[in-house]
Amino acid sequence: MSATTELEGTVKLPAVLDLAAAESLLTMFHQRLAAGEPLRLDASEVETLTLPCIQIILAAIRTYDQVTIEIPSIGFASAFSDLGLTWEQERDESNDADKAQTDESSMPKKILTIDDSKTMRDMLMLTLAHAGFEVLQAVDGQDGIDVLGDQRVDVVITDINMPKMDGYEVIRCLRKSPVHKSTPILVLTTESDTEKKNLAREAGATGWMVKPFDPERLIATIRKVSP
Amino acid sequence: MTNLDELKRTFFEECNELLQEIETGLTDMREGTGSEDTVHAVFRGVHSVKGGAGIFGFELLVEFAHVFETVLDAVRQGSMESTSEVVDVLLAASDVLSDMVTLARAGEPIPVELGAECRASLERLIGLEGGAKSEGPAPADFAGIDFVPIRADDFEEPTEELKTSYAITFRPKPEMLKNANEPLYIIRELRRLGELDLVAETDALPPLPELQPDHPYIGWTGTLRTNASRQDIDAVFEFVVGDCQLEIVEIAGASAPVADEPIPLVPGMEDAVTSAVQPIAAAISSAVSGSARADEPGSGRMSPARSQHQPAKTGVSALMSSDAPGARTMEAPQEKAPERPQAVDMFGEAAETNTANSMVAKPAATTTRVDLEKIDRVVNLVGELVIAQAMLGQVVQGLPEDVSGQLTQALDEVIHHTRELKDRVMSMRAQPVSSVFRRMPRLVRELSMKTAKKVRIEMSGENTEVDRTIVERLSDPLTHIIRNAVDHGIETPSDRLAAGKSEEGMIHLAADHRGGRIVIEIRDDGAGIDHERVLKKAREKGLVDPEAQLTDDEISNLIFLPGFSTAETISDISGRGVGMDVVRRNIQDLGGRISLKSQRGRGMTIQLALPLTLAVMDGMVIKCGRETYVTPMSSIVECLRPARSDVHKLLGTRGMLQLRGNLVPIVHLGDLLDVASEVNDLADGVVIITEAGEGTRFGLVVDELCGHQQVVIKSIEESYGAVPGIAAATILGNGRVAFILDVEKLSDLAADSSPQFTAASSGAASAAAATMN
Repeated sequence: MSATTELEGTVKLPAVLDLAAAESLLTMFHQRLAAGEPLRLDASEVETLTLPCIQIILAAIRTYDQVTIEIPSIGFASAFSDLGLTWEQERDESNDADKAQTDESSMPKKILTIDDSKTMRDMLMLTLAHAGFEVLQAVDGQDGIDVLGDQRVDVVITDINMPKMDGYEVIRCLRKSPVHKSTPILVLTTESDTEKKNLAREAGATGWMVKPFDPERLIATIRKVSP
Repeated sequence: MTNLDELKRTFFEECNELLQEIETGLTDMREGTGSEDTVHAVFRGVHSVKGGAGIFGFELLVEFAHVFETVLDAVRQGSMESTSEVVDVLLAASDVLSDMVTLARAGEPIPVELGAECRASLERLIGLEGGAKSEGPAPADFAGIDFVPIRADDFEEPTEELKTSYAITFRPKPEMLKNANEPLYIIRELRRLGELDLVAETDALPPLPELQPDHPYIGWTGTLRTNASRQDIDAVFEFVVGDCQLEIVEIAGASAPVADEPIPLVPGMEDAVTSAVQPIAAAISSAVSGSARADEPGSGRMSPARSQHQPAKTGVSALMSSDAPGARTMEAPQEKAPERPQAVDMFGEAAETNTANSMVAKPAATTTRVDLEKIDRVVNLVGELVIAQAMLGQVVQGLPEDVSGQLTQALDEVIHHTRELKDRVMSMRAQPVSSVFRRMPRLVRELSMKTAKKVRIEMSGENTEVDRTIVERLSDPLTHIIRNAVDHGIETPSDRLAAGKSEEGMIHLAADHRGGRIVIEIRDDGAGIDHERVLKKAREKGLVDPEAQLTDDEISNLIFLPGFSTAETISDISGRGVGMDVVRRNIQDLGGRISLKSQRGRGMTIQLALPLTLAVMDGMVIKCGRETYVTPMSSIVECLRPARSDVHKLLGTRGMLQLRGNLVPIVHLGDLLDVASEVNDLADGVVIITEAGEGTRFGLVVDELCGHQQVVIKSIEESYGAVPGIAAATILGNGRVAFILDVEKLSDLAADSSPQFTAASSGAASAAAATMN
């Protein structure tokens, strides 16, 4: 592995390579590789790398042998290793033992809570702020969409039964937006109907929690969908 | 704990709003005036009460709300028709819910039998209407296929032997990525449970040109050695169960040595691990500065998660221990101030910053919640300002004219603005009377049920605003009056029909602003007051002189006398005759007046006239001896200097004043308050004709009138205790404290000191006049 920074054909990978970034990564690869030039990927700043982009990188390496990875960051390496994968196809470099935590950025995670009950909003605020999250609040579905705008958050927690716009609609709406289509959305409601759960899932909800929530569980669940 | 108490307070405050929304909605539905949205709103209301109640562990409340909600859901979905029978059950359910919230709020246990009957009716509805969803009421029903509670404790990972091995196959489907469930995170979660050997199946990965970014191509098989339960493993996949191909099979019960693993590792992997770690670690340390984390693999991974646990846990235990004591402490502030405490934004700055962040794209909010204490403080400050301004006025008056000219102009400006400021601040604290009015329909419903009468209540002017301190204290008198109206006023359906009236009785509750006061009228179309019976009773009880001739109005007003009860049987509804005199006292305490009109067979009207605020009032400053007092303008009928010939002597009194054909007993303020008056001859003093309610008038003799002034009411009861005849105190322009007279109480004091006074003042003036002539 040679450290090359200024060489022709080196592309610095962005810090976040999640589902939302996959599209543009793929487009970039298509453009670069169509020309048949070697492509060096500088992975030194990658913090988040999830399956969709891993698949793209892996497919690129397999399809075009002139693709190489340089200076893989912890985040980059651990994503591959945690999934039992290796990017060095021909070399004997594979790993597993390294369980180094993915870079937990110093920025607190941002969470949007959408609930029409002030008690519930306060309760969520209390729990989440206590656990070190940054919390945005919205009082109904429409407000949630407005508050969010193009702002990225790490997790959205929404109620289902709300005036103006219900939770299903919020989920559908967010899933349509390129910015939020890969944001984990947790439904937090008193409903526990399987039917309604499925409805939420079809709309694109990431998970379902039943009120009243156990604060510990809530935090665990949030960390689960957005570590 | 403070946070939790406040949270609870917020919850109950919210409950009040929600319960009223629910009731209003249901009432609208019953009358057919609700829109499609109404039932949705009611449903959401019940739903929110249930959600909040769950947080604080009010289980019976949650259970009841759940059944209630289920019926509403059926109505909402259209699978049940909202017939009046259904809505009646729903209304009853809303009453039960409200009772439960009240109990929970008071920190009292909810009896199991409370609402059992209503609940049964609700359940019958669901059963009858074929709504198949009479699911168990358990709120925390985690039994759903994709829902297994995570027991966070199990995250405390064992470092010792790993007992069980599972073979796991995990192949994501496209839906998984679409719902933002990330396979990497799931696998990492799985790794946390123990040792995971994973083999990725990458054969399905297409060449780059054919690859779709949001489609998962990779699957995994592997072995997990863990001490975690099967449940914990399932929990990892809880959100993705339907969205992936998943197999979890236990393969070895006993502690299986690594070597015995039936699932083979990738050939050469073990060696590769060791050789791979080093170059990667080198690369890392060159790439990432200060990456201490690379040095603490394995166990280091757990520590952040664990440290997050601790605070979260204390949060929980705080929540759990939040039952009785928390609820008790809430009660203390209740008594003093708000029965509906206004919310304080408990998160202080944090919440503010967030709102600031989140509101960027939104139009500015039109309302804001302000802590009530803050407004009260401003009200007090405005009061001080009024006083300071009065002082300034006096100083300016004492100045030579060439100086005072300009000052007076400036002062006028100040006075103008102060008044405006006062009005604005008072309007901030104003509240529509609807918060009290809205409780009445339920009362009427319950009473009509108990008494087997048919009664409808109509309301108007609910949006009339009045200072919230008054709104809060209106509830008891109103409740009492309405109870009386249903219990004694409205006749039974058969009696009504016989009297040629409609079967259903009507109570009209109205509020209106009139001349700087709020007037509340309670009108019924019942039987009215039976004057003969009332008079007979009053005579029997010695409340009225047997000889006295009373007008109908005077007789009607007898029901306000203490200890008067006309109900043939004491019912549990209207109580034991402590009723109307207490009501009158309550209203008078508020600086208001109560009056009553009754027409036999046609009904009765009770009118309450109340000041708009208890903070500032219009008063007449008077002097008696060397003392200065303030008489509320509201109780002054007129002031006069009587001619000596107008005053007649009557045994046992200080005299009777003949006023336009009526005789009014005279009371010397100095006598009552034991102050040496400088006026001995009535003609030198001033007589203030006051009205103490129920038509009782008397002439209060004082030395001098000093002028009309707005005064700030300062309670002396809080710091000193109640003084008979004195309602409160105020500070005058000269900085001196003056007492505000309680005219009502003065009238009582006068009655105590002279037995003749009662007879004379309670309207028997004509009788007295007859005696004289």
